[in-house]
Amino acid sequence: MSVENRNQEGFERTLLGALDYEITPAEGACTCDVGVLVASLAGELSMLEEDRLAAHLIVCPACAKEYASLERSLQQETERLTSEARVPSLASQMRPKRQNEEVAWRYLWNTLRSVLPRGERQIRGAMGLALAGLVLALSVVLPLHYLGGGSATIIAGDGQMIAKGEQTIESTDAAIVALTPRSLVDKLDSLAGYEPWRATAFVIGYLRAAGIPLDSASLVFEHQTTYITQSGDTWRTVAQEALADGDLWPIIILLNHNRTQHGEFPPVGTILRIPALAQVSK
Amino acid sequence: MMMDLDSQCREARLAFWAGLLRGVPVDPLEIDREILPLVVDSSQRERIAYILLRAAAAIAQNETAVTVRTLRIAIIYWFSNTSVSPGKDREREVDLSALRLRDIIGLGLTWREAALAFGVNPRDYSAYQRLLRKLRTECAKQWKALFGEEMEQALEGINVGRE
Repeated sequence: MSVENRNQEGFERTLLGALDYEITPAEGACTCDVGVLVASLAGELSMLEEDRLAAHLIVCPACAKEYASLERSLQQETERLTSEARVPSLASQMRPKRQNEEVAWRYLWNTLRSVLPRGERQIRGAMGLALAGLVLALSVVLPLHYLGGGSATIIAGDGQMIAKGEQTIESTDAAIVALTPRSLVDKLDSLAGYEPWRATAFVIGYLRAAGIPLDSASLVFEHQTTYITQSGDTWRTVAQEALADGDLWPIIILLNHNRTQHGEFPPVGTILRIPALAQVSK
Repeated sequence: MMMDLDSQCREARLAFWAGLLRGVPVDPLEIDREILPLVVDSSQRERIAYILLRAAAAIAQNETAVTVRTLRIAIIYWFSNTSVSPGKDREREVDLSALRLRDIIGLGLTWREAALAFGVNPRDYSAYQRLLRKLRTECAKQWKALFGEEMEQALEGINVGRE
């Protein structure tokens, strides 16, 4: 073998060694924003941002695991909702769906973005809310695909209707009407560790059983506000104050159950997250 | 806790590699801006990884379309042959045409398999060998310009390659 060939082989070995080094997993945790992972799955990142995320996932096993988990959940939920949907009629397939699909996905992303503030590292809690939002949106997207119309209505904060279709989310326990803050928080805590989307389905089911059907309730997380607790507040008074309906207190807990233990109302001065809510009727 | 500095550098470089793989123009000066201040005083491994990326970016910027395509095939080939475990991952279904760096790692592709991702069916390794020569020349030139010494000498006796 010539000297040139030996040098060439030596260079190739060095090159491959350098690339082996490049993909070595990083030590320790990172401060990655889980919202970026969700944004990637929602197809919201630019190619440049995708490149950076891809690079990060190569060197950060924790985020790669989180990403795979989110991806699996999304896939399972899509499959589940798809299998639950009825076979579309020829007529429904012929309806224009693209526009509805786009507004539903936009709603999905706005929901996810609002419940996953940048820099927040409470991945578990945030992911629960993210997936809950995901299911809400998927439950709109898929019925739109397969049923082509119905009774569910999602309305933006300014009152403009952005999506309409039959709602398919079923309550896991719709018969429970005697819900208390404590039992709700315990239930949410028990649901959050796995299949977090059930948390939202559970609250929706409760509201429907209590006479507030989701069909006409519009949870709009896009325009989220905050509320600082004051002396004398309860979950119900906050719901009354912030959402103009005390019966909607489970929604306040749904967004803030990581700020309470066993349903106890948080201390004065606690900042609660409040979703904008439009057009709720009983 | 933040990732250590080396990991941040590796992540930044991998993002550039991902861009090169997709055929995005990568300005070597942009690499300098982002990474150079971090590698000047760092280990030989860091230096080599940096020079390699910068040389690849220079080739992508200055060479013909055919050479650039060969470079992109080579990126698939190289990265597919990192982190390869025998008997693992070969069955993994990957859409190579999507050109996603993360999916390629560990696939253990042959040169021909990598080339097929671009619809090229090479008869031999001659294009690859030509690219390696160009890359080596470019690396040596940049090493000398940046660190003021001969690359071959600097790497002599240092175990930075594969066994």
